[in-house]
Amino acid sequence: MNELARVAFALSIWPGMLGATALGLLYLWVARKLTARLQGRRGPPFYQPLFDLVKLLGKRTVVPRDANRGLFYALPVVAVAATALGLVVVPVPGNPVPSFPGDVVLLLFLLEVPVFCDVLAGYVTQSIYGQVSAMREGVLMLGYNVPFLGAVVAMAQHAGSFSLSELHGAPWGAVCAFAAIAFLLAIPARLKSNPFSIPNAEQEIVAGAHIEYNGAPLALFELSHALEVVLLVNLFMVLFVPSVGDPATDALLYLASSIALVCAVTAIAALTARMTVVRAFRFYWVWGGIAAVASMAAAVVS
Amino acid sequence: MNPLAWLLNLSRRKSPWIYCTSAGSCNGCDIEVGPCMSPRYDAEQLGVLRQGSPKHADILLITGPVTRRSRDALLAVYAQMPGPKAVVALGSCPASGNVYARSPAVDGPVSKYIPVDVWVPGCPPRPQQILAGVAQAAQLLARGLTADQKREAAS
Amino acid sequence: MSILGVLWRNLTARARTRTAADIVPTPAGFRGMIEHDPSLCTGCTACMQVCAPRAISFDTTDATSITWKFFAGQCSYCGLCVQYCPTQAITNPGKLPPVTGDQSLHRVAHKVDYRPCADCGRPILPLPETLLHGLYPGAVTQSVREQQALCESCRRKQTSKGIRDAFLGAAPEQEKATT
Repeated sequence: MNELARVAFALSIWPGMLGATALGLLYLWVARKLTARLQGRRGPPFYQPLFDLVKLLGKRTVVPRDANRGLFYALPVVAVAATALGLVVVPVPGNPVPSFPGDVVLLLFLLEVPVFCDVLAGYVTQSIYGQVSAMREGVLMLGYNVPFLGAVVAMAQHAGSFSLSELHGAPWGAVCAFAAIAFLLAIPARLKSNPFSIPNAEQEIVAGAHIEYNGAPLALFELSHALEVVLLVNLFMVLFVPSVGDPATDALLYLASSIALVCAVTAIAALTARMTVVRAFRFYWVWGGIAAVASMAAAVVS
Repeated sequence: MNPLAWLLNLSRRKSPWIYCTSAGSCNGCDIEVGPCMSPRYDAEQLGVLRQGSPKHADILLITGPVTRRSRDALLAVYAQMPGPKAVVALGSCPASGNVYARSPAVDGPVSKYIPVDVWVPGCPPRPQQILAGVAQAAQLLARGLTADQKREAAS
Repeated sequence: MSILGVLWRNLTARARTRTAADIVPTPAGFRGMIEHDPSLCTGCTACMQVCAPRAISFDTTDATSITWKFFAGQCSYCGLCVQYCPTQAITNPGKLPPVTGDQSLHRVAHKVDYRPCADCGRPILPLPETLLHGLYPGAVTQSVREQQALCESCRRKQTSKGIRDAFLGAAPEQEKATT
């Protein structure tokens, strides 16, 4: 019972739905505000992502005539559920659920589920734009997973275990620097932000996989995106930001590193234009591959 | 009014997403919508986002006198927008056809086909007027006074 | 690399966004919603003839008045009516037409009442004061006003009678009664 209560708390309050939604909406606002400032505009007020979400929940849902209704409604729910479960697994400060061996593998699997939901959503909507976006997202995923998985596996090799808490407590080494670079290379593509915003290229394919989504399903997809930001930022913190012992300082460090990462990704997005999917794939296999191999070599050598 | 309904109405006013469609316009009004999202006027500070799909939008901005060729596309776009939705007519063309009114290719005004909530006069209207029209439409959405919401409440 | 400089400048400077109090007012000569002064209108319909979108029309269904009608939702804000109105009854103060859900706010209708001719009683449109002063720059005398109170036929008869009287001398009373 105690275990169940802890998982329920972690899933619903912290670091799950409630806490992660609040943080995710904050990060979305930081991204939009920083983008606006970098473009010389004023930008939206801090409550904007919350109102966007609530407004979408209050709209009626129009389902395309030939779309599979069950899949149409189920995909965003599955995406949110997978991201929420992933949040439970990552040992951020204040997470009551203890880490267990192999939770890294579970987390990597859960991280892929929202991507699959996006790809399927592109096909479910029967729209040509959605299908193009789904194809591009699939190709991009084959690209960014090279440095992403390489980084995580290298850190696991360095810590000698597939348990996230042990990865968090692993001592500093050269492998951490290489793995951090490989991980950071993959982040913009996971978040679908420039220069890797190919799956939702507004000027080309309108809105990508979500083009026919509206109302509450779209709200859930936006929520899963916000939760995915929090999850990736949490994972970065767990892998590369060491704990200082004092829980208050840990929490502060967590927040500071999260905002810094979000700001860095946003700044790169404001700086760059979109790459084509072929170029991005090549980039990830060449440079991402080099970074992944370097981190794994560093892990094996040290 | 319960707090959830209050929050929902507030969010409708604070997050008006727009979709712009041309019903055969000369593009003068369409060009004036562009600066609304630029740094000088920055509609995003009101929460306005210009969406590429009518399914993502709350407010439809119509320009043009509704030519015969564009009429079916306009009706399809309006039907695809999920409710509650508002309609803003930009310029003189949707209101009356302006100089094109008696052309055999023009079949306006737009109120013949879809109910309009806010009229923004001008030829073309200034970006400040367009933003004022969008803000008014957002207010109507929040108060449940758009034609679509009234029709929904009556049925 | 100049993009980095642009981003840095944007980040460190104030936003370029105009606040509501900061909005540039309409420039001089801005063609906004026209205004019509019925006391200056002579019903010449020059504005209606020059209006391309036919936003201006005259309603002559009523026998005792003429109504100048304008629909701002049809206007193309070209300013030709302002330019062509001979009495400057139509002016352009540069005001923006209102953004509203109520289209009746864009419709203007000004009634100009006819006045019966002092002699035959036919309805006529009175000449505006400013035009009178413009036509008779010295002074608008009582005889001018009496003349303007007549319709054009009666005025023509009065003028030709005045010319004949000047050449042939004043006619006797009974002759005047038969004309």
